[in-house]
Amino acid sequence: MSGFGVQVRDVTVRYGSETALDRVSLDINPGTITGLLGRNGSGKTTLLSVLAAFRRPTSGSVLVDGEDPWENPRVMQGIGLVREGGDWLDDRISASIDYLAGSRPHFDRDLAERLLDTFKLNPRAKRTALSRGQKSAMSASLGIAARTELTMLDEVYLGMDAPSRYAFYDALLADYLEHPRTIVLSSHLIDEIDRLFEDVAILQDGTVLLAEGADELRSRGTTVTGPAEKAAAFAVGRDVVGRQELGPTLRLTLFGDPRPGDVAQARELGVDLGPVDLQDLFVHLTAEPTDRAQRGTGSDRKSEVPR
Amino acid sequence: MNAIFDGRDPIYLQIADQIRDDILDGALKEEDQVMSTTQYATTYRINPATAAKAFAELVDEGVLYKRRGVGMFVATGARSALAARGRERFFADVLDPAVQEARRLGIDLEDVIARIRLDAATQPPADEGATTDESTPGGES
Amino acid sequence: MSAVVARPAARPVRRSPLARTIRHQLAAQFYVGAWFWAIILAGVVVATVIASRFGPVEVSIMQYARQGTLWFPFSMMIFIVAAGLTPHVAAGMTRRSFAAAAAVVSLIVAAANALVLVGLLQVERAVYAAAGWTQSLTDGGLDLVSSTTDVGPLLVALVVTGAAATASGLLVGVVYYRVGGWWGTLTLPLTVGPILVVGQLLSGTIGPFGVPVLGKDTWAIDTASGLALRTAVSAALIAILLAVFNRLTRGAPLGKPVV
Repeated sequence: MSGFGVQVRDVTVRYGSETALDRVSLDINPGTITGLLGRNGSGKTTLLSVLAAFRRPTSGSVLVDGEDPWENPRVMQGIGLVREGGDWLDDRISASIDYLAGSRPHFDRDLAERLLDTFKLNPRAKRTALSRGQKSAMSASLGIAARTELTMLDEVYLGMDAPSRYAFYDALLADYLEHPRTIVLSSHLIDEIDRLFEDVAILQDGTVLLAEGADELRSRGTTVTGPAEKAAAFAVGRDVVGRQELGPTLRLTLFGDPRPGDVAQARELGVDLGPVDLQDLFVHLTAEPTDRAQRGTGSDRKSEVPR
Repeated sequence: MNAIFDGRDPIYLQIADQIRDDILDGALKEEDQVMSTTQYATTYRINPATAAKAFAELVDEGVLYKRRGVGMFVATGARSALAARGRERFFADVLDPAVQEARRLGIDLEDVIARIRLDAATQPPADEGATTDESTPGGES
Repeated sequence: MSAVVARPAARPVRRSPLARTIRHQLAAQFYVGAWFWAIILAGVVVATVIASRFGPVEVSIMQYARQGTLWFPFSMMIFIVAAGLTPHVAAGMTRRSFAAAAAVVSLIVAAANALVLVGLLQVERAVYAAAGWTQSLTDGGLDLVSSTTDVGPLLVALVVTGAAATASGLLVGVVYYRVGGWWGTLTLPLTVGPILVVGQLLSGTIGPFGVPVLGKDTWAIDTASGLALRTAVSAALIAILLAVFNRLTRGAPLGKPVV
């Protein structure tokens, strides 16, 4: 069992007059863990639904393991989308386990039971009696135990407390290492899970803002901190995506490929360069103009440093 | 060995730096096996590809090599190579910035030189790396 | 990493999704059906005992279970779609296998209920005979036959009307699933109407709610070929119901998860 690759080409999804996805093209490399990031309404959930054959795109094509997943028995049995709240039988958890054991070729019952135990869930409990966090834990457990070649988890950690979330990340990573598969994680809590990502895709307003390796993306973010004029001087000719004034000191968040002379230039100007974590980068790159105005980051992201 | 990777540099750079430090310090000796990508992943809750990236960089530098089916090992001569590279970089990357900083703070460079002489007198010289092990108790580690 | 899937060592032969789903749905329906008949039986026995207090019983009481055997399975079929479609697809199976399984189950359930009712009517006839009572049929939907000894036509009538109800239940279920409460309710004449039509076709004189539609003489089925014709027309209607259900299910986007 390995991982399914995914190719999305020009996928558009419209609900009546509303466009949820607008000509999205994206590749997900087989066997990798990809982070799918985007604000509410960015189209993440719709994209995942299309990949899982939960719905068809209005136009465009999706290939999972080289084939259109829609009503495709071979491919569908290897795709698992775990949604918040879960799509399980409204019965005892053990009934869902039996159900999956029958329908998922690689389902591991022992793993499911161990994971449920980690989250202190009783298999005899009825799903409808579970709290929100418990439902999430159940979904996460069964989603991992299904060992589907394409496993997608959509905000499945909501309602789970921090220790449970970390237990989930550990369990996911451990099983991924032993049984490699393609995993797509969508979450708001980026700084908790960004270390798990090999690749990252950011959606905004139904389009792909960017899709690249996580480390490549991280290396393109830099903060420059120092006296206002010095920091501004460093930022000339670069994309400024964030701005923070701390008294006479200015911190600018820059986005762009690192250049060989950067360190020397910073030293000369007497400013400090620092990294930007994915969470910050995500916030800055997806900020709406109104957000920027409120946070005092000024105009949009071209080379001009405001004021 | 630092147990936690903080949010400063990219993690793969931190891993690579840590391995280089361990080799220089002697914590990792030549022909020692390095933790596998899987072990890095489970220990630090990171993607194994991140550790793999660090290894790839170190392999390119000749610091590590791969034994197929077994794992990553410290290459012979890694320590002296790293020490040599470090020596090359020391003046530009460590000393010059220190001098610049001193100037910024208004420290007289003669005081800096005097301090260096004091340190030289009170602390034993570090070994050259290619021959003997660390033999000085109480040395900086 | 390579996208090639290395097939694991041969697993034991697993049933097809269709077979598994039929099994799964049927198991639930038989469980629920057992409860249904237990309650009916209890009710009929109690009613019979009470009626016998007033003198010899002159009417079949079991016959009144007939409406239950239409509308209870009808609602169970709605439930199969409402509760079962999403988990089925989410578990990696196709809508095609779900629709096929549900169609098969709808027919099996209708047949099973018809058999049970006919069987119980025979039992009732035996009990009545021993007690010296008369088992007359007064329920409108059963006036195709004059007596419960006409097992053949009785069975046909009950199976066909039962299948119309279950097929309609599936269709109502998927319509509500896809378009929600408003449109689902507005289209009820189309989705539930066939039950009434089939019921009318397979009754001797009057429609299922006791409303006289045509005179006894014009509508009575007095030949086997007449029954065959009406059965054929009803079967066609049921086939249409199932075809529309199939179509709507095969194209259904999954509903949002209920948190």
